Amino acid sequence: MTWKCCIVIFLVLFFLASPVRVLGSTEKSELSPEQAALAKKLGVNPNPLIPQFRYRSVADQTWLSPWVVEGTVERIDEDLYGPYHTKVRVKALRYLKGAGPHEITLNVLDGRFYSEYDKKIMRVDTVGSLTFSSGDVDGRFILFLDKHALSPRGRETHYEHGEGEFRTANRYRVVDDHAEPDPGIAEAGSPGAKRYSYQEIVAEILRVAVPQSQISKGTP
Amino acid sequence: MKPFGKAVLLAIAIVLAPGLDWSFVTRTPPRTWHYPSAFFYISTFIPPEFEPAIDEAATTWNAAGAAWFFTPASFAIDAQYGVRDGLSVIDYTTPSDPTIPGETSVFTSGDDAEIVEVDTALNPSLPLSTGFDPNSYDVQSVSTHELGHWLELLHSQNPGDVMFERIDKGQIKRDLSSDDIEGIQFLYPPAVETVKRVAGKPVTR
Repeated sequence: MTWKCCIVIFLVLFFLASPVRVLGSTEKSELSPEQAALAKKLGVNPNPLIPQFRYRSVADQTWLSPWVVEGTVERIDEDLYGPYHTKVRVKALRYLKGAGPHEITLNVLDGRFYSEYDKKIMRVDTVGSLTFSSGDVDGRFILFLDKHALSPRGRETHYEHGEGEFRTANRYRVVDDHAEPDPGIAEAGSPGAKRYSYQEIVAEILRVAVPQSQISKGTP
Repeated sequence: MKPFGKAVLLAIAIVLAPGLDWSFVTRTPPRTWHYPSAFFYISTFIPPEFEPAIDEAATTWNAAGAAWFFTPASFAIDAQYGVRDGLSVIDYTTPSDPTIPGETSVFTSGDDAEIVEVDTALNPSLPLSTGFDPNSYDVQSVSTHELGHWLELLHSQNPGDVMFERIDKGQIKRDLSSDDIEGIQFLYPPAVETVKRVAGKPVTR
């Protein structure tokens, strides 16, 4: 009887502990041996979380982004009632990685919104977040995109991105045949702060995106 | 001092600020809280061992000699990061940028003049600890940085500042630098020092 109790307690503890281990392991990426070998060959760090995305090299950013798009910002709309308060409408000139529609929307949480709590228009800003302003309209950008959504507990479905909608993980503005890093990255020494020639950044993106797509058919 | 007088002095100080050797960063003009104090709630999802570190981070700002005070409230079950719910909370949830250890959202009045609520997310997807673990982000250091955003301090470019834009695993930055202190004292000047500041003289600490 005692042994049976011990076994039951062990099994209960084991299953209780399992989710903790899974949560704790989210920092580590799960790559196939082929993907890991390619990452090593290309010289990229495949860990999705460390270091912070916008400070990483373009090669790392490309590896980690399902979509890399070159496009022009056509207009910026505000959405007072939706979960994303700023909608950046972009005409995709070409997908350097992944595939998608020509007209896409970049969802930004920041902006003015109607607050049910206050019963009036309020504003929210996330410190250090990547935002677009009227000065970006007509600007040409290289955009590193994903579908990550802020998911407050119990509201998971509320913040999902729709068809043709993305989150901008980082951007470079193309000016006079150069790709300028986002001005929000002030740490001069970080790889993410590097300024590229247009040809150089496109070549770097394709250097990673093309072989990566060849070993991961079926995923963007 | 009347609010109008404070606003005028603040505006003059902002004009003088570029000529001074400060590296803290804020908006021009900065938004301010209606009262020089904020209640902060700790989400029940925050691991209990993090709570003393968060309280200590608030105490650090409270001791900076500015007319500002963080007031610990209580645990808030319903308060959520990024949701305007009337409760300024430190939550334990993945931020909008999942690759950073902490993130802060600021809710303001529609004219963007007055701060009404601030929420911070500590990122459970990244390793956080309260010890001196070289493989984790230090909770107190991250919390001190994020609470600086509650005060309207933005990212500094001086790596020695708590408000520097980036922190690495294992890095400990629990104490305010002189720039951090200048920042909070600029935004929430001790009343007796306001005139000195406007005159561009060094602040007595």
